[in-house]
Amino acid sequence: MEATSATLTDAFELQPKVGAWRRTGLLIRDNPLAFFGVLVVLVLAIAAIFAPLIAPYPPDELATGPRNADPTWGHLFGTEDLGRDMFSRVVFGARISLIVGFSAVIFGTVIGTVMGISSGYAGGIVDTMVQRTVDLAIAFPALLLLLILRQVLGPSVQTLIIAIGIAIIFPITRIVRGAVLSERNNQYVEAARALGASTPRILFVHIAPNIAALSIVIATTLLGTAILAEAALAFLGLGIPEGQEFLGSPAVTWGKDVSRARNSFPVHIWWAFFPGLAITLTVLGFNLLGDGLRDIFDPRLRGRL
Amino acid sequence: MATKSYWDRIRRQRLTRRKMLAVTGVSAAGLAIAAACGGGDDDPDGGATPTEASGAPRFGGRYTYAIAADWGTIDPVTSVGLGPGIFPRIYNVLVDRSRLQPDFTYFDLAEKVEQPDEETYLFTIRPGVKIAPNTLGIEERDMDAADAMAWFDRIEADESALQRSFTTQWLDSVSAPDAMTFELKTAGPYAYTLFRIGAPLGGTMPPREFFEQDISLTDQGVGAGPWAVIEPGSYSNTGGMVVQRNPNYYRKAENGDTLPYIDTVEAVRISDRQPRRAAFIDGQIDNYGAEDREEADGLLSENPDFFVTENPANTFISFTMNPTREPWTDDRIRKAALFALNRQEFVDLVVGEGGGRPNGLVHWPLGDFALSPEELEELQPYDPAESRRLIQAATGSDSIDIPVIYPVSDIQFHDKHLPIFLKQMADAGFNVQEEPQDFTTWLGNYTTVSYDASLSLNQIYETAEIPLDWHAALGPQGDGNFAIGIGSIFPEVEEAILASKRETDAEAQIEAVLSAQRVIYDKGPAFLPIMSWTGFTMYQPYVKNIPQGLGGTGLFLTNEMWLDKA
Amino acid sequence: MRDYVIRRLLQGGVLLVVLSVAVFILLRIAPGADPAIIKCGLGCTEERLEAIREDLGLNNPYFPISIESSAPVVSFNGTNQYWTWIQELFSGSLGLDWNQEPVGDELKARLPATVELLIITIIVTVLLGVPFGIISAVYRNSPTDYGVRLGAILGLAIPNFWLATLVILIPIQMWGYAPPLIKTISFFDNPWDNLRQFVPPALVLGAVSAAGVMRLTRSSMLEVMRQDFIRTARSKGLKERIVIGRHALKNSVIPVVTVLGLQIAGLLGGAVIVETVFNIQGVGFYFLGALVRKDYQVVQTLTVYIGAIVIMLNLMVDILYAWLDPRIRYS
Repeated sequence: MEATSATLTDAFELQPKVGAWRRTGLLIRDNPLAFFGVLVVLVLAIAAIFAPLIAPYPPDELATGPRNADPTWGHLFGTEDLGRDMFSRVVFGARISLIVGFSAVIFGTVIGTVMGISSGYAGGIVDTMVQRTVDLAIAFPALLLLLILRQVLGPSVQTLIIAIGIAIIFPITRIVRGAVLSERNNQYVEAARALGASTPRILFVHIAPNIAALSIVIATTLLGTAILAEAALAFLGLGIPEGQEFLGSPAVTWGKDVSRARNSFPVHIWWAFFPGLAITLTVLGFNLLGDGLRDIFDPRLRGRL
Repeated sequence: MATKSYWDRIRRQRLTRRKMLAVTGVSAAGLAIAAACGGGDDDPDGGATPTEASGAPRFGGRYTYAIAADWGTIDPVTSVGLGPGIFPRIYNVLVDRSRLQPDFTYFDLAEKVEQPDEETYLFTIRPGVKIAPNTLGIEERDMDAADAMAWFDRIEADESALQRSFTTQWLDSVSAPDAMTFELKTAGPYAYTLFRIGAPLGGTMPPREFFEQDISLTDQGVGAGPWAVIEPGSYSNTGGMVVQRNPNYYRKAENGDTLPYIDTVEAVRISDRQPRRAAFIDGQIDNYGAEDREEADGLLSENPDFFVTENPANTFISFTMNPTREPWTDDRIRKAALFALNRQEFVDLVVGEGGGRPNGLVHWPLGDFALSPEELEELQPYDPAESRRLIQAATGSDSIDIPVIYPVSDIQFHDKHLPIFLKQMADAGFNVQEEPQDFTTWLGNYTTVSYDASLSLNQIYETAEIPLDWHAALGPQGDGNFAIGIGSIFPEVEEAILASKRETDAEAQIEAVLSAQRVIYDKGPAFLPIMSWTGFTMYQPYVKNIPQGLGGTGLFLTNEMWLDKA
Repeated sequence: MRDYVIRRLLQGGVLLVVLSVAVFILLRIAPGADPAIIKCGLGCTEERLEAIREDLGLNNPYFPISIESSAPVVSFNGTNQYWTWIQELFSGSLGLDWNQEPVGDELKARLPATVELLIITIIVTVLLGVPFGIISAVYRNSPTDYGVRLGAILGLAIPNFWLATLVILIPIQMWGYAPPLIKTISFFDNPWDNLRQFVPPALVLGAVSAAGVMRLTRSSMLEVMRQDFIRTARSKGLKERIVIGRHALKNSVIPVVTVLGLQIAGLLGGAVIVETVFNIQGVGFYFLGALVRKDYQVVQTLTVYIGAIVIMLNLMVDILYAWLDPRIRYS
């Protein structure tokens, strides 16, 4: 998760301005990398939503063909050690990996944003309390938190989502707080205050929309981080257990497949290759999209100065 | 290989051939779950063909192997993790009889065993088994019967000793009539005595000074075995083990050479498979346990000089039910589970063809003690329709919900068993409600039998005794832990298991073990071993005279290995 | 400034106390086996478990003061687990771990490896991240820029353990080369082998943080270069190289320092993975093992020490900040 901090602070400087969406079209032309990101995300979304229609086999069906087979027409991505079809697993993996990523990020971003806004705007004792909590949480080892959660809630998809989500809350709180502090002293907020606007009105009408844009940008890049975190935990043997179901689909994730395939690498290269590629492309896609969004929301960094 | 002289000695010994067969099982019978660790690769064991030692043996060199387990698991009295790979290199055993070649017995600290009656064993201690030079202040003296006495005191005193079910239930007394005689009496005839005492696991004896001076077996390693810890600090959790030739070692090779051939033996910790593999190809370590036949073949095709040994692994993953909880109280439901498992499919998917075989109640690597495939076909046919019929008869519906706990682990093959298990159970009408648990949580529940049903981790059993004890009322430890045995419900099961332990006549004992299994099958067993596989250990081409085909006993013969390199 | 540092140190101290209490309690109230059960192992009997609990001091009250509903409502406990542990924290041995070995000895053996790994990683991060960030900003929207950015994002997009595996696998498969894998080699014994051992894992670990630093350097350079003083410098006719080197760089390095500080804490997490794959017997590896077997002493001790490092780093970053940017004043 060490990747986050850079991207987070990276996004720190942005100063959202209204009307940014109009520039999106132009930007795709100007920023092919972001366009690539959008494309990747679209493909993923389609794969995730229509997984049962696209996948030729259920992802957990054993012995759909020979074990450890190389890619063929019948098994586009080959099969893994129990003869499960890797193409189906990669497609369904999009579903679970994205659900895990999205849920964790939404969970973390929403709580983090609320905490950051209250801390930044309220100041005083609230601010101090929130900030010290964040200090404490950042000093607390994330792996230990995960282990304790697993013992309390049992190892499952939900536990993983909560653990990754909690790890996301605190850096976001910090960044949002910083942004609120600078927004607070902006002229338009002071103007609103001078006009007699109430605190909730200033918060929700004037500050929140701008902070929301910031949160969305951060969340986009964090999605990639969450997917990588799931993979790393699978490698450490702390991921989603084999044989779980989540929201009606078998809990197949790319991270778990790569870390399982790793054991028989290099005897079977293809087994690890496709889920690994899926992870890399997805994280790449979300990062590029995040960069693009930041450029849209922050005209100063639009690229053309 | 100096096999001939051993065979000669075997002919000289006074046990009858029939009696020898009685103990074909082998070595440590302790209950062992190879959990959270795995013993590492060094397991000279294997197929029937001994290595051709080319040319004259050479002295010197450094032999390095990888261990995966935590150093805290080194004490062989209480743990199976590391002990077997390390202790035979430092200490001595009284005698050890090979599991795979029952006629082969390694006489070490004892040069002779006599049995005046069925319950008495007289070991004549070999003179001149001299302790290595050391910095612990232990005198360089000869080992004697007092060392064996001290060792048994230790095992009896340690409540967590793996051999505890032996010392509490079967060991009557130990004594030393004179300095060079050690006498052991069992409480009644007991078929597994020699395996219990003569094993790499729990049979290797440190000098008595360790216990008199309370020296930790984890910190120090000095005995009268082939090697000893001579450099300080070369025996630790971070550093692993480096042992040097014991200049006082008593043993001579066939040609009169003073053993051991290898100067230095080093065990290094490498817990991940990839660096282990790379270190082996690069020659940093001298052996490597391949994942399966396919990997071994792949490595061989790139490096045809590597030497491969194949050995059936005494380990398996099992399905256990708690017969005191619904629905497993009903024999019909337990039998439904028996018929639900397609063991051949596990073999085919987990290790591929030729990589393993389905298990009955006693696992196939134990040879004659396991029921024949044909009989298993009758006793535990794969028949999901029958399972559903039994469930229907017991519950009125053709499917049933069953909670199953299992540890979340990437221990070898466990995560491969799980999806196959889930699918087969579903096909047979069992709706498994999965309860994955953290390893520590699972172990706690498994020990105290706080579960309905469980898919276990690997367990290592080198005799038929413990697999049968799983079905006994007191369970595999003989103390009520893990106890899910249906012997608590059916006295005839209890009797059959006891009879199989009391029978000391070789063929009759095999028959007793087989018939106990039949009795248990009839009552609906609550402990179902699924399959066992074959291990493939690869060696660098310059490692010569690798003891093979002897099972764990081979560990004691590493003193005759030599390295053909400058 | 001095008052500020003192106040922050005091706050940090309080934070560490809270952290120690938090980790202490969480470890003990989580369900599942405790260290005694795990140590007791498979042949565990009630009596033996009780004996081990007694040995490990797990039967002692948690805290110096306990409050119960039964009388006496408030009691003071002379021997208690928390205070014993705190005392051990300041002793050389740091208490005993699961193997009954002093935690301090184990750390002494392992710390050099992890520290060296982190130092090389930070060097890699700065050497790769900052220059490429500058190049990318100076030549923004050129193919160079796209190439560098894509490379950076790729660095962020490959799972750590997978990259590490490839770094071991490809050389051994293609050329039969492997770095020293079987034991940790000290730099002072054999510098060459030591570097062969530590540089590859540091590259893997550094790839991610270098990518982050590169992206940050780029965006903060762009930000700075747009500002008035740069325009002034340019209009004064200063050479572009001097404008960038002297004015832009110094100002854009500020956020980079912040992130580096934060990343060192994050790197400790990544260290667990590369230490496993490259078989380096370091602290990360030890911590993971202790977590899995719930070794209270090791987990709580390391948590507090790592927490102290993180807090100190944060403070140092803030001080460095003020030093780099005279406009920032702490009161």
